[in-house]
Amino acid sequence: MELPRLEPLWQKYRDQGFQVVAVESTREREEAQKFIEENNLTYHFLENLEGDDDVVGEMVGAEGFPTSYLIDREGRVMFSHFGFEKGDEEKIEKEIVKLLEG
Amino acid sequence: MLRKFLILIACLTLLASLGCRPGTQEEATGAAEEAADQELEKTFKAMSEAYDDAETAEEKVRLLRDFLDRHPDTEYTGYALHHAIADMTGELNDPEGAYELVRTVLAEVEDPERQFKVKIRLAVLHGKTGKLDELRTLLAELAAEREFDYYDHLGIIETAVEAEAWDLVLEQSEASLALATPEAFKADYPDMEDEKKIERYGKSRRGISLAHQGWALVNLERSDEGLATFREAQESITYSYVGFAETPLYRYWARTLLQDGDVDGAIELVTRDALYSRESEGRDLLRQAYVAKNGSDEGFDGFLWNHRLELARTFDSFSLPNYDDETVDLGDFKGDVMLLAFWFPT
Repeated sequence: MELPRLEPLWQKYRDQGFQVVAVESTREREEAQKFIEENNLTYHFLENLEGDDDVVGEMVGAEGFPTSYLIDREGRVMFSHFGFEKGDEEKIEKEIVKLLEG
Repeated sequence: MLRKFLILIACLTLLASLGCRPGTQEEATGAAEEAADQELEKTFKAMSEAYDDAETAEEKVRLLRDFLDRHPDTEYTGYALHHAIADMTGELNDPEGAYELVRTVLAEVEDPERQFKVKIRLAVLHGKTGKLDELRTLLAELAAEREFDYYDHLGIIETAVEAEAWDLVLEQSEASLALATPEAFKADYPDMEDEKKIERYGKSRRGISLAHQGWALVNLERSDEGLATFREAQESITYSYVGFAETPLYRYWARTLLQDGDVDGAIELVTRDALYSRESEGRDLLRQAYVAKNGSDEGFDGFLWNHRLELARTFDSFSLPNYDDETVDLGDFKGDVMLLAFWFPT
């Protein structure tokens, strides 16, 4: 899912209890912040840590980038997405709505 | 497309520079040659960007054809052909057109290494257009010429599976096993340093080869051997965070069980594939099994959803700093729906 496309989703559903969190894994701070600014992204942006504190490794490991997960209110990982393709946006929105309904 | 290609070129360049292509290193790159290379690179990049922006498959293919027409014999040939073939055999459903394109390009390619690779693609298209005699003849020719690499084998395997040429699938998957190791993987990607990745990718080659081999055996009426091969393949599969592996193994295995009437076995094997794969094949297979069990597909969506709930793993929360250097604990978001995306700036 392309990051800029997550912004409208965030704005649309945040009031229903929806969070968007992007974790950057290479610690290229300047590049990352530039990207965030240029695209006016206002959701949560976190920076991965190194070595033993690296969380990205396990969650992305076999897949590679870009990977995203949809987690429900109970903390269950319900959907995963790898890469961007036509039609992904609609798919993801449907999934978000389904999880918001609970 | 561009980024993936540049990574591929970096790997290939490194491979070449390690002396894997003796003879070409002797020719010193003069200034004029360098300028021509840069010009070509610019042309390719421009085409690649236009390709990414193109809205229809027809337009994408037109761009690739134009490029190949003007520059049929370059370091970009393989990649341009790969995409043209994918688009033409995929969305455009025109394997004969792809076949013609490869033949046309082949006629213009002089570099022997490149020629071999284009011929492999031609062999794949023989398979896709049902020209099985030509495929076998060409394969024999190519095998006499040189050793196939893992991806050569895989290309032939995949087309042979589509063409249901099971003897070829068996022969090629058996031959590919020698290259289905971390060592062989490392030899193909010498600049990769991550040992864990090398181990994983090397192993997964084995899983893929064995999956195809097993399926060939099943289709050659050697089911028991096929099933034993599937079980062996399982040991070489690496699973993702959600417990999924993008491999044909479970689809082949499930189909075998379904053929034997073991519907519950098939369902168990293919549910994760149905839930997490980008491809629809697993989901179609699961629906088939469901219908076999229940008589109709009524309730299938509910069935799928329940399985999704059942198989979903728990998110192990963590804390990380944001760009204001504040620690954000994702555990605080429990009770909300969360989209967690992993990225890096290109």
